[in-house]
Amino acid sequence: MIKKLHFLLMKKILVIVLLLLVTVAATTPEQKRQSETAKSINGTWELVSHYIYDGVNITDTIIEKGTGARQIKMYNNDKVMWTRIVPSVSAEWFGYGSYRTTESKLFETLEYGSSTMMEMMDSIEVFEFELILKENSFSQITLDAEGYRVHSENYVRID
Amino acid sequence: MKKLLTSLFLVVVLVSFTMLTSAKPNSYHSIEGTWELESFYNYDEEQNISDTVAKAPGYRQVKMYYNGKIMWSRYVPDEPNGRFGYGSYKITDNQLIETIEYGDTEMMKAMDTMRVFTFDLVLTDDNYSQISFDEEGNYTFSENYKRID
Repeated sequence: MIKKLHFLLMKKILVIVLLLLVTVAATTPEQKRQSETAKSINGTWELVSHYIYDGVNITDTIIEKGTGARQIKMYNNDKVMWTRIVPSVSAEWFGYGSYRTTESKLFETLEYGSSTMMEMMDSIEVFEFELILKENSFSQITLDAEGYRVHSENYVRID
Repeated sequence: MKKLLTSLFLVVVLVSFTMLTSAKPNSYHSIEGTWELESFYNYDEEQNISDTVAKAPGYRQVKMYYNGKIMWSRYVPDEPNGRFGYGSYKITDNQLIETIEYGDTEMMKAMDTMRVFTFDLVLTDDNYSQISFDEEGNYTFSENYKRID
């Protein structure tokens, strides 16, 4: 009798352990996904300023706000699109393509763009930037042929 | 034995519940993502599709929806001016409502009179159509998109 009770108890414990394991297994991927997106470039970003570099350090800041210009970039999965308007200037700027990031680099491959962009794309196929990515802001820094910093676009997350 | 059965039942219920709730964020029939224009439909007075218009060669129009924000752009070879727009969106059961914040020069002119664009929406996993309608609610034409991401 005692042996049987013991057996039942063991079984119950096993079931509870199994239950715990299943619950843990089911919730882990969700939490993992959340921590991965914590510092992801996925989302919508607006240009707020430019920095000019002397090769290494920032020498000048150009604030975008107040000029009436708006430049927004959207990243989703591996696609990127950006558009720019400047009041009273009819030149149009936009681009669409795919991208990938490494820890410190952003690579964008444009598929099409505004006529001004299409002219640039004749000479540049993949746009490579140094990337400084934080949760709610990022900077894409253009480097010269020797790898020195030239200029950056600085974005803040709006979504 | 009964206790064991109860526990097992509980496990099954819990597991299926967890699976159901964790499957939800995979956004069934969500418009979130990247879409490319495939074709246009024209509608007749009986609300039927009367004509399918294919894209011109090289014509590319892509729309991105992400978290309440929408951006689209159009490139047509040999046309110097591209088209684009940016704003926010919401969807109801059968409608797509886009509020444009800025766009290309032509779009900006149109925005003087119209800023909110309402379409009838037919959304499946990999395709969607945004159908324009006139003041009486009659379908006029649609843009048909295919999911690319």
